[in-house]
Amino acid sequence: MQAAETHPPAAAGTRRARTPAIWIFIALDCSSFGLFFVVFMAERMGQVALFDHSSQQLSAVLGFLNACILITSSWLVAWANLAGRRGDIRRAQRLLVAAIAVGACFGAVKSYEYYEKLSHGVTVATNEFFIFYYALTGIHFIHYVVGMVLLGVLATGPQRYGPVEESRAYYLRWLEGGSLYWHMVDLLWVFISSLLYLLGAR
Amino acid sequence: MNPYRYAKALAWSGMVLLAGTIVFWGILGQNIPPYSPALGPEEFAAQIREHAGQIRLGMIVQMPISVLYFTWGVSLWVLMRAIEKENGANAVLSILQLGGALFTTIVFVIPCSVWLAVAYRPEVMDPKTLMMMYDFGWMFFDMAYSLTTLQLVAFGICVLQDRRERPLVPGWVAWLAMFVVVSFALFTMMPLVYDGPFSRSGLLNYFVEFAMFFVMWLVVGLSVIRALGRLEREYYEAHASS
Repeated sequence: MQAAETHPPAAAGTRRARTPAIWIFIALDCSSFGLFFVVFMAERMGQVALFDHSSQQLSAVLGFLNACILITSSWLVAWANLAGRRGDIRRAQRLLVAAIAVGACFGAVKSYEYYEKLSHGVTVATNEFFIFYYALTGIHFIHYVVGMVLLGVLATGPQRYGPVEESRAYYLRWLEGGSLYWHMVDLLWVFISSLLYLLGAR
Repeated sequence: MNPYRYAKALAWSGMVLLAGTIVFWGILGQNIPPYSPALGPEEFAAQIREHAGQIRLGMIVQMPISVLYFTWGVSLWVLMRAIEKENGANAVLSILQLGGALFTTIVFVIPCSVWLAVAYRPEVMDPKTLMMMYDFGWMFFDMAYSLTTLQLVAFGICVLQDRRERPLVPGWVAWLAMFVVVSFALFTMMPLVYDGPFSRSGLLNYFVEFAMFFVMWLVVGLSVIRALGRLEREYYEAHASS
């Protein structure tokens, strides 16, 4: 009876480093954004004047500012990753907190921009360009929020329960995965801001 | 009793539903692609009246077989419990997954019943009423995406916590599942537009999203069948002497 209820032993040893698996997510996500960009360009070709005129209603300064904010935040996350690899987890945590603080500015700027557009009656119903504007920046904003939550969880450090070495190795894998994700959020914004804010700018 | 008994059959039930959904919901149900929201009421009603018989047949079969989504969810639950038990007593993710699977089953059943009603007697119905009912079905079908997102994100996170040297389900399968269900957020644009790539029959919100979902469903389904087979083999090997 006892034997019947016993489960087979878990495979011995710890699981191989899992970081590369997140690349499938990043590759798929970048591909799908790539497809959005192609569709955007195809729609734009049919209505160049409308898209250019609409693009001029956006603030290229705010778009560029947000790109700078995300690049800075991404840079801090890269440093956090390096600190973690050196074994300095405390420093990695502090850098992650700094990255979150800088990253929060992106949310503030984007929220202001949405408020400003909506209060002037610029919605998805305005024209084709603004359908893409809200879709692309909205989907990117969801990625941003997920990234901020991920950085927040990573900033709390390795879990304090269980074997220290195992927790630390597990944490460093997630730190690397989280860093890759945040770089993707940053990279996507560079493309989105170029397409939406700069392509039709005077 | 072998704790994995029935689980593989349930995992296969998901693959049966996948094939059935393509045939009954997709082909017979006139959902490849669905009718465009840009159609006017008269044009839309004419389409429905012309294809009412096959839509009715499609939905009559699709509604009862949709229960297989829940049975498929139970097979994922069995697999997830095996991973969770190795990591401790926490069962939160497997419960979330099972709840998500149950509610996704409802997302299949209710819209299909609405489309069945649309095809029931369209010749005596007002075109605008038909259009409203059809729209309602699609709003429910697309906009309840968070239930499926919940199910497969919980599955993905659980699978990534498998600490075996050779994981039961490869990490890339977990990331693929999570990517596809997170990308459902694009459906948010669907109720705001009437044509173009973001509409319910558009390039992005129909062709890309649904193609990705079906591919992901197949990949996750086959991975789970394989993993359950492995768990069963391990169980029998461990108990061969007793």
